[in-house]
Amino acid sequence: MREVFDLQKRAFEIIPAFISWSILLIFISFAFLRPKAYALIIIIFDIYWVIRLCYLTSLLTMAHHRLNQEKNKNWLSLSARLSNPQIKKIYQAIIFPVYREGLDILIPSLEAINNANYPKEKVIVVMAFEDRIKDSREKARELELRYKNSFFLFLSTFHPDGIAGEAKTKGSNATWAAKKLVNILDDKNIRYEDVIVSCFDADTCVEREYFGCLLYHFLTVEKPLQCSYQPIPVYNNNIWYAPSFARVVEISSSYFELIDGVRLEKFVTFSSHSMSFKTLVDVDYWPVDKVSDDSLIFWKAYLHYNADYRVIPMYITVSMDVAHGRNLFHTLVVQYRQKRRWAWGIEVFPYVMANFRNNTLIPFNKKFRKVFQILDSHVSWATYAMILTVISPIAMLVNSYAFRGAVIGYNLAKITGVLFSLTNITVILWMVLSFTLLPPKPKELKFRAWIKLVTQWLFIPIVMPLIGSTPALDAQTRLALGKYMGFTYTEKKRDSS
Amino acid sequence: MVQKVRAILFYISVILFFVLIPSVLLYSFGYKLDISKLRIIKTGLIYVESVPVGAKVYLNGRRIKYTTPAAIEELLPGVYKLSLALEGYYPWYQEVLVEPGKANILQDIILFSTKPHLEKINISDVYDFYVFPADKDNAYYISDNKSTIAKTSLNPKDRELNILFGNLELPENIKDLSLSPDKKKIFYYFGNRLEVLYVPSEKPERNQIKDINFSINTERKILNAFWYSDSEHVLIMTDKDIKIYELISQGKNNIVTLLNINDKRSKAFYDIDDDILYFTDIQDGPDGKSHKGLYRLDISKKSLFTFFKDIEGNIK
Repeated sequence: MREVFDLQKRAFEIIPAFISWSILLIFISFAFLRPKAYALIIIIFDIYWVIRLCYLTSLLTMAHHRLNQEKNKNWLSLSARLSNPQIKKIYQAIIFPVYREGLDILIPSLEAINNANYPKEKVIVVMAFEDRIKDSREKARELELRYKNSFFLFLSTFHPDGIAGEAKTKGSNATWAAKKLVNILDDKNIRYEDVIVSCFDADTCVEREYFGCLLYHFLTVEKPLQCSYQPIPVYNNNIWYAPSFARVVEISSSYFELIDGVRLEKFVTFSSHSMSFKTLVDVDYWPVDKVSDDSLIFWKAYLHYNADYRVIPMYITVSMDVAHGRNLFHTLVVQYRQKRRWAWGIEVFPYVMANFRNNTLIPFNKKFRKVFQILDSHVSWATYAMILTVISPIAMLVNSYAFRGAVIGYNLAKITGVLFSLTNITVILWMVLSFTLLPPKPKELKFRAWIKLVTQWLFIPIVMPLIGSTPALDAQTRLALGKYMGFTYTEKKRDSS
Repeated sequence: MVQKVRAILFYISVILFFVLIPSVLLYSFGYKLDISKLRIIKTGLIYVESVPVGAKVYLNGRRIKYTTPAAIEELLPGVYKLSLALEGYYPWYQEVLVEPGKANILQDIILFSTKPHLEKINISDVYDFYVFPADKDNAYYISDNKSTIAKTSLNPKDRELNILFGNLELPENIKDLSLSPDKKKIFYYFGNRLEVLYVPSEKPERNQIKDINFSINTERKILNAFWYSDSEHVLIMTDKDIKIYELISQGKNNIVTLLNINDKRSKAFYDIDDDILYFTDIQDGPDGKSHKGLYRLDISKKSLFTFFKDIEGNIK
């Protein structure tokens, strides 16, 4: 059946790319047609950027300090001290949507849960396999043999292909698994309110105190059912073996999550996250036809509760894999695709806009702020690095003739140099902070691995436009052109080979 | 608490942004606050580079704290006396105009040393010398008693002297000496005679004409002579004509008269890269009158086809 053309939806899909491309074209036009006006714009932009970077770095330092403060807490005993009668009823359900990940990836994730400081009789693990992947059942059998008696429940579900209205996404698989879990919880008379569900990427390894921390926050926050709980994703599983530029990208991703954890009004769920199972059921599970299920589940809940829904940052890490490939070029491709998939999160914009239009209970100022925040984060992502590292240097080079003989020509280079030096200071701070998040260096690696951890930051000016802005622009342009993305599997690689 | 600190940081950032923007922009475009008169004035700057760097900079006689390369900023519009001083070098001075919003960039300043770097580059006495485009590493010279032609390296560290031709009896009135592009032959001329000398080769090749120096005698006085780019022909310009001589062997020169000329004191330049002769001459124009002008004669190999057509009437 032919899909009905929805003008409003298409307009909302076009807006982000239109803004991003307009900003870039304005900069390019001024750079080549009005060099002096461009000098004025670029100075304002550079100052804005440096102040923003300093501000964000301050937030990062605060978040980092809090992460260090809270990492050694025994959250389970802290929860026990709350004397909340609900504590004994709470179950932790963990859904692992699995695609092609092998046992080498899945077993460490399950071992981390097995080693977690949380009563295993209150832990439910659901391995959500895709039925179309031929070795799924074999992997399920192997895992069931190993972990059948380790938890209260250890389930394997097999998401069939071809369900009407579904796309081949992680969200559809997780939703299928959650629906299976509903039947089991009903059978066992477990209330949905008493279950906290975590949807983890297959390579997610939790810290020992993760579930205790989650429980503590669940029991202490106001309106716990109207919250999602977001840990800090770090990419430590294979970080010592990943190429330098890929490490820089992933460390930066972790940092932005830490920063957003301080900016609560902007904080949305990303990657591995947790929430009440009741809320999940009430909001009709994760979206089954969208790639960005991790952020869309927040927006579904936000709309369901008429803006009375928030994400609680948990200063505890979950460790995942740095996406890397067979060689440097393949890693670049893998990273690019992964970041494009993340940037495809812009698909929430038309979804939110369409739903805001129909919702009269959310005040306009809240709607406006949220829309601005979505656009601000995605447009910045697509344009800033491009302006700073590509357009600006080229314009300076081309305009050196136009600026010759003018005070601005001399001063522009000088001011840009000073601002660039300030940026470097923040990069050094980022580098120092990154050392405290690292897992211990594997013994087989030599001292030069540490040197690489320092020198990797030199890749920032290349990485920013290449794996930062470009995939974001790519994703926005695809959305604007109606070339919708499907879920792309990110290759996982643990060893140094 | 965290949110309070965050709010404070946010407002500090906003204030910083709005304070920095006007001040940085005004500075960037050369504006300066004149506190005494409480007004904003537009300034200019002087940027000065010198070779060598590190020269002291003086503006209107006052020492500036920077050395070259230096930017002297926030200058009120007007004319300034700029001078550079560096020990061991001659000072440099110039009056420089500073205009509002403009940068006067002085980049080509060379400070010449007060102690010129003088070296003697060979071991014998030289009164006259020739350096040819074909061999820029060596100087060729005729000995004072006109009996030898020698060459010496132009590198002062290489003091080797190489006598090319000895036991010569060169005339006093040699007009010019020229080395062939292949560096194997030298000709000199005087009056209506041109002598070609073959440079003795270290490794003689068979069938090569060796040590056979020969003379070309022309009917009229030679004004100019040039090597053709293949080193096997000589172009000779007399006050009557332009001829080209093929150097085969003594007495068997193939001679072609390219052009008759009328100017008795014709000046000429030969572009050996393209084999083109430029010369002055007096030729009859279509109006029947004589015109003195600059002419171009292309005798390159690629132009041969048209060339032969053009000179057909002049071949003897």
